[in-house]
Amino acid sequence: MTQPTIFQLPKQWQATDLTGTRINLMREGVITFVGVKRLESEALFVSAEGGGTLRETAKVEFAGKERYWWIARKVNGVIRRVLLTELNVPDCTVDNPCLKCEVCLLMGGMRESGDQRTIFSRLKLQDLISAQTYTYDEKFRVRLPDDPTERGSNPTPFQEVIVPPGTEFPFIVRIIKPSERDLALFLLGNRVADGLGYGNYSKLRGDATTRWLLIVNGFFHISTHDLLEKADKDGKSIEETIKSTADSPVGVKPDQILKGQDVVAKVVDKLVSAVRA
Amino acid sequence: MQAAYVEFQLDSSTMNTREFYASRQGTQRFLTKEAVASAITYSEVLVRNKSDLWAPLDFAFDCTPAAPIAVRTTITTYKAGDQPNIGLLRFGRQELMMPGSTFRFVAWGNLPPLWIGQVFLIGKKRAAARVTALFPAEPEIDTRSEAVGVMPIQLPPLELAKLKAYRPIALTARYAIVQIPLGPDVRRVVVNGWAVPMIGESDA
Repeated sequence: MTQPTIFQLPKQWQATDLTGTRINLMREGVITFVGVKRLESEALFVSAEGGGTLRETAKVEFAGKERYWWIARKVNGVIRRVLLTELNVPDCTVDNPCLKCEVCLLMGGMRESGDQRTIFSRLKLQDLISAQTYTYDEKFRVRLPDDPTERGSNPTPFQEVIVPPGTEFPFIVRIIKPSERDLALFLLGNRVADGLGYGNYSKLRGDATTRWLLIVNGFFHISTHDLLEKADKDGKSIEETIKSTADSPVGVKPDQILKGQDVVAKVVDKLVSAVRA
Repeated sequence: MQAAYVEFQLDSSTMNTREFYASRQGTQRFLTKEAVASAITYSEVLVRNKSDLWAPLDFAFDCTPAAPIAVRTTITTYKAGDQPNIGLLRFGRQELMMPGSTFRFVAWGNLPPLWIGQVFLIGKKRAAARVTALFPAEPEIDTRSEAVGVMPIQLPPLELAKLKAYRPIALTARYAIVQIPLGPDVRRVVVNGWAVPMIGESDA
């Protein structure tokens, strides 16, 4: 296989490198990551106000059936917090993004006072929509009071519709005008975030793993809808379906695709360890 | 004249902010023509000031806004950041156009490459969308062609005064989206059965 040109990227952008000029994403470059995110424990992605004591995970009718719907911002937010902590960025928080640090330069931000400047997020995560069918399975649960012996303290019953462990989501991420550092930061943030967990009560649940299957040096025209539909039609796993897209890629040449789980994993490890070093 | 009728489907949720009031952010059911043109030309500004939002965009073609075919919306609860009193939408409700929603638009002029299965990024947070139907054409501008439907068009609000009749679909400070009845004096192009009234500069 021809060595992909994925590492012939600029090392790192400075704030002055990202100008206000209108750019063409195709000319400035895009890296597309495609993988599968799998929940290792149950998760609850509450997106709507429930009725009474019921909390229900979000669902969407998509590619022929109802599926669990994990809105991208729920992943994005965890990654941003992870990066701010891991890099120990001074004077930058999710409430007051500094618009100068490398996290803001990658993930964007808006300053609402003063000169009202906005940095476009170059990290584009797609919503995660499950390969598995949504199942309405209401769990009846009880929250115990902190001190059950206290007078008048009672258990609180509630219901949840969770996403079961083992649920898989095709995970498509694009980084626009990428530098090597951007890739590394995203991969590190995603890895740590997977361990911390997503969604409601992530202290106890919502942890995930990401298996990266393809890294594409270009704008890969790949669609979650098509992947899910094809996987169901062919009776194949979502992982096999994603891998098969590399055989006849749209928008990029085959030698722009880094594939093979071991090869991809080595590249990911190398990039992540570069940040940690 | 080169033209194309395009349908696309969202792969990810997005919105086009309508009202933003009392911690509720609603969405329009269409995407503006600037959103469409930026998406199909893969163009974007990385850093912008608020005044840039009003700067007109210049493309080698013109297009209609993306009109809904089947748009599903949902109201999601939203919580961002740690301090509730800082920033814009920190806690509240946000209405989203859901994945699977479909739209149509017509573009004409010097068009970029378009094909079925093409993926582009559109709307707030730049949701991925894929082209599901495409009908290229080379129509002539006339006042006679009949159509099965009329596409809404987007104009600066001050242009509305020049129209004899219109049905408002959306009015904002920056633009108006209206549907114009196809009278015998309305110049139009028809692509795949959909008429686009030629009004204003694009009429030239």
